[in-house]
Amino acid sequence: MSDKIENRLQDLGRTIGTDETMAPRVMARIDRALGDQPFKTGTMKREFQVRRLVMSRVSKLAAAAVILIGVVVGFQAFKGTGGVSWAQVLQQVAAVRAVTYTLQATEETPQGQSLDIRIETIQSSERGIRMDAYINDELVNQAFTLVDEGLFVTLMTGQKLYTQVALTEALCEEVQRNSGDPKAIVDEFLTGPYTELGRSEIDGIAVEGVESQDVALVPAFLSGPMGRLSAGSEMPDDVVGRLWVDVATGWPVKMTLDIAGTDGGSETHVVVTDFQWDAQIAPEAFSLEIPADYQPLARVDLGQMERGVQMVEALAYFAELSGGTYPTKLTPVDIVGEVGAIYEKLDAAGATPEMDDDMLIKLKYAATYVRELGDQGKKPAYYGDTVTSADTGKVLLRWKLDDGRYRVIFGDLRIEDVSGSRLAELEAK
Amino acid sequence: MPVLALKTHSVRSLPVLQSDGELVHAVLGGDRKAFALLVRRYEQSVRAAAMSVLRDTHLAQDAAQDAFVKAYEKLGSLRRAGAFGPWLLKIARRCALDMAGDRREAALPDDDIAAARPAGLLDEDKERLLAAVLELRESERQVVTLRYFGGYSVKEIADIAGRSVGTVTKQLSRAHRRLRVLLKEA
Repeated sequence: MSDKIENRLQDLGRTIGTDETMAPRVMARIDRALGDQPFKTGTMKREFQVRRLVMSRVSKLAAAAVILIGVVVGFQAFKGTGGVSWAQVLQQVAAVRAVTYTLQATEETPQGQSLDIRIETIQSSERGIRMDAYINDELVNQAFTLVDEGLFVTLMTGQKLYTQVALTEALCEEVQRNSGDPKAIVDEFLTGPYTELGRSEIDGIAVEGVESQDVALVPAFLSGPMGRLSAGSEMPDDVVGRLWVDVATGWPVKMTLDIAGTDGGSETHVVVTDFQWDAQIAPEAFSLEIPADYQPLARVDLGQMERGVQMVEALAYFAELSGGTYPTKLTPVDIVGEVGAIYEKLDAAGATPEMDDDMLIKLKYAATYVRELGDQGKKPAYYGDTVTSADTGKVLLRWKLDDGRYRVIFGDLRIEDVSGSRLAELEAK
Repeated sequence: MPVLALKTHSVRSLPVLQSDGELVHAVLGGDRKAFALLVRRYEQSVRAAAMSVLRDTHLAQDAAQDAFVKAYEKLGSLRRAGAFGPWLLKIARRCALDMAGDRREAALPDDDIAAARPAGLLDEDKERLLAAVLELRESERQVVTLRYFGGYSVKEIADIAGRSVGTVTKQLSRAHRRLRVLLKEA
């Protein structure tokens, strides 16, 4: 036998061999044992919730002119200087109703290029989230999640474009319940594995820190586009995060995350600072007027999505482009890939179609919405890999409604609500 | 569109394979067939993990089945969908240990477990190698088992694990180095 480790591994692999019967046997056991039981969503739900806030956090790397009338920091809430009680930190941060902070993200490529983004954020349980993003001190993007209006609006200042998403009531409530990313970061640090770093000093303040190498920190730090980028394409496996807390008050003063470029790719460094915990937010911070010279890029109504109407619009757009087929997989990343491939093909054939951003964005929201339905245990199923617009009686997409029936979108994009037994008949086709 | 999202808003071709994360999401979304794909993807790795504990092909098959069923039941509690592979291998090891414990409780001495090993299935050298593979870091263990037990190419592993080809290549290379060290130490 060769001494080369690769050869020895190959030899071991051959000895282990393949068991073709494993998958059918496992699936038969699952079918017998579990039938149609739904999953326990558990902690996976949190990941979905982070992603779901497309709708609200999609602009995490956008920024905010922070307008404060005053700051009330709960010094009295944290007694003693004998050392930080991490459980108390967690409790204190979880109770915060409003916080402002600055997130600075730097991405460095091996070629020495660097992209710096600064995001100034205001998060308020009562009002929503505002984020202003700057590149090289130039405001490039503003995102507002407005709880009272039920809207998520993104302004692209350079292009003078905006997107507007009408949120559902449930989503607004979710934002109100869980609007604070620093809270999520602290939670990830202190409920996961960490090591204590001991005492240090930041800007003259005595601090105590913890360090974590848990990759779960990444979406907590970078929820929104960057988080989705990580989660959707490549989740790094080499990260170091640090949380520093003021010894006297128990409030976090600095959080850092370093993501190594393990494949010779880019390194990312994130620093979150300038916290104003339990800040009082001026109402003006959330008063949004879209400038008159801005053009709409996309308008999405999640209520209409829920009713299936915008889902149908988006799928019809795709079918028109593709000549009657639907996206093979209903995920945002794959949709972009498939639409891109179609445009490339059309372009190569001499047609030069304009990309309809409104529809493309609606499609991506549709995909995200379907994923959220899965998270809610509403049993969505999508058959775009086999069903085309010619399949008038076949189920293209379906999900369960609160009343126990199923909303079905057929191959010809009709919408119908049917019983479970009727759905079984339809899906047997 | 948010700033960094521009990076994803580009024309790209579809990946060859669905990643573990995508399949997990599909299963959670009600697509049970997606789980069968995960079983096919990891059955060799899971059996290998079980075999390293039980040293018996048939018992390892049973433990592997238990592991997959348990993984399906607990899929909703998986913290990060993309971490399915390493998570599954931990479950497999736990199932194998439980099975070994059950056998001991049933008054079957360890010798019987060893005796049940079909001759020539895993010689001492292979057992040592397998034990070393299972000592690797999670990410390295995943790429090694997929590469050598599952027979996937580096590109396919990259798709499966949601990493870049460069990362997988480096992880394989690191794993080879680490295995050499582990085997020398043994």
